[in-house]
Amino acid sequence: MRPRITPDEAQKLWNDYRSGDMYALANIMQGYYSDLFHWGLRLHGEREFVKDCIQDMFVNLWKTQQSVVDNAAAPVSNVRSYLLVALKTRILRELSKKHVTHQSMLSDEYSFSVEFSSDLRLIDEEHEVYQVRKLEGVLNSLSERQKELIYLRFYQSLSFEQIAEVMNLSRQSVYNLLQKSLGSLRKHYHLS
Amino acid sequence: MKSYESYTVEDFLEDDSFRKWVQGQGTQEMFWLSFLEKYPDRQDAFRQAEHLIRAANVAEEWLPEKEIRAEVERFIEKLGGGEAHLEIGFSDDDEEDNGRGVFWKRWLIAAAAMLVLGAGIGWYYYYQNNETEPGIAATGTSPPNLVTTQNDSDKPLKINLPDGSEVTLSPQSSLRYPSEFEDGARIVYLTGEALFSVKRQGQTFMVHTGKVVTKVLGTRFVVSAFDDDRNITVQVQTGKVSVYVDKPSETEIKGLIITANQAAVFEKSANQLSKTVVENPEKLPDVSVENILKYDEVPLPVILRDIEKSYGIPVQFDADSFWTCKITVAFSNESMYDKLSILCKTVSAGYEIVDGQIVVSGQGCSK
Repeated sequence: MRPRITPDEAQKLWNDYRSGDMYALANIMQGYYSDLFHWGLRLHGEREFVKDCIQDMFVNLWKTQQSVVDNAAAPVSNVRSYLLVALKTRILRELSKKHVTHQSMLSDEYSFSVEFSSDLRLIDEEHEVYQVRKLEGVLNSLSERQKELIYLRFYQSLSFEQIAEVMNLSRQSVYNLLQKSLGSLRKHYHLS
Repeated sequence: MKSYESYTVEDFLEDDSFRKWVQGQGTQEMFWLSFLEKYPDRQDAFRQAEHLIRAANVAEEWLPEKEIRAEVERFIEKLGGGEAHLEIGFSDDDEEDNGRGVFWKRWLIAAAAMLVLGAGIGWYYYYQNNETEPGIAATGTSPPNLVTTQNDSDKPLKINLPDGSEVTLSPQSSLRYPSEFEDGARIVYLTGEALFSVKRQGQTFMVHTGKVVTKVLGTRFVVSAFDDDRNITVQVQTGKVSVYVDKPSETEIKGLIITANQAAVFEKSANQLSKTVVENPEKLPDVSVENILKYDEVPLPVILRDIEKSYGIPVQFDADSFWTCKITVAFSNESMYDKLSILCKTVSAGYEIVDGQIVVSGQGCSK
């Protein structure tokens, strides 16, 4: 995995950006670009489209910088999840513009595609490899929302709190969703 | 905070320290390695959570650094920024001597640091008798039928271990290993220096050298622990190993994970384990940083990140102050340290090696 900027670094850059430092925002963009790009492609698989959305999102962040500064009541507790939400909102909005049918923004209907492929590098035992491969299969057969949850937790390293924010769900719903996923996983686990 | 005794799969999954450990980014290696010793009935939940995290791995999208850079540049241009150009010039001014001086000084410091690794006072004794070893090492107590290979020649000696792993034993060194590895961990005992190419296999591979244990996570690495050395060093060529101090009496067990081009040094007199960078870092074979050779008006942070990626050594710097430093440079086959010196000279900055990382500091450039 690429080295990432730490939450503390990001928070510091974000504060600089809020006080008007354009390069701080450019640094945030650089630091989170590959993660945002990865996330964007999960929501829509066109690379150029995703790149444009990221570009527009950051230009927009800069434009609204003034209002962000004024609005002291809008603190950003986690830069990464804030950006993931912003990008998701933008991508879904752009997509709904593209489609003729009226699709409500941030409905549960958006597609999310991810392919889990186990990291077997540090596994020693043969039967563990087998076990993990099986789990991988189950993970890939989960619903899109369940996969999104797993992806946000383990690829984007978000807390459940932040996942709730990004998925526009309550924390309780996130837990329920996790329980449901674990249910399917356990069933297969014991069969083996 | 929930107590570990009642940890469920969910708790493990929610625990960031656990997640990082499984994903190989952790800082609490020893804690999680010995977790099941302390809480044996958490075994199922622990394993399931671990497997799930491994299974939930997602491949990165291929996106060249150049493209990211271009996007960030595009962004800055849109906002009306982007000035301050700097060219590298070696020819005309007095600065050159200065810079050369700095360059050599830095190089010498690096060389000196490495020499320390080879100097020393005597130290090595057989250790694990009568002591309960911590964590995973416990499986290695009272090894039966150890074979000892001593290299008294002046040439390196190749040894094939029963599991197919290869060891190149340096002169004046000896390796003790079982004629057949038992179930559990593969454990060998080294005095002196050896290069290990470990075969990936069911059991953990561990090298005991006095007070230091190196646990392999699949890799090539060099362990150096001569009797009369002041330090024990472990240098990683590829892959990843974890190194820790084998001293059960201490409450705090210090462990480190080191990756390619990093080294762990155990200072015997101070009983201290620390991280540094190997003498001649090699570019990682499997990293495709494009264009690490030629840069045209590229912000310094971008180049430093490329160096970080191609050598796998973390580079710390204040991206804010260096962002306006635009660099034009053509590298050929300079060493990593030479590249850093050239870059630092250009922007009147300096670098040092701290804790296995490169720290670049300076005033930055005016906009």
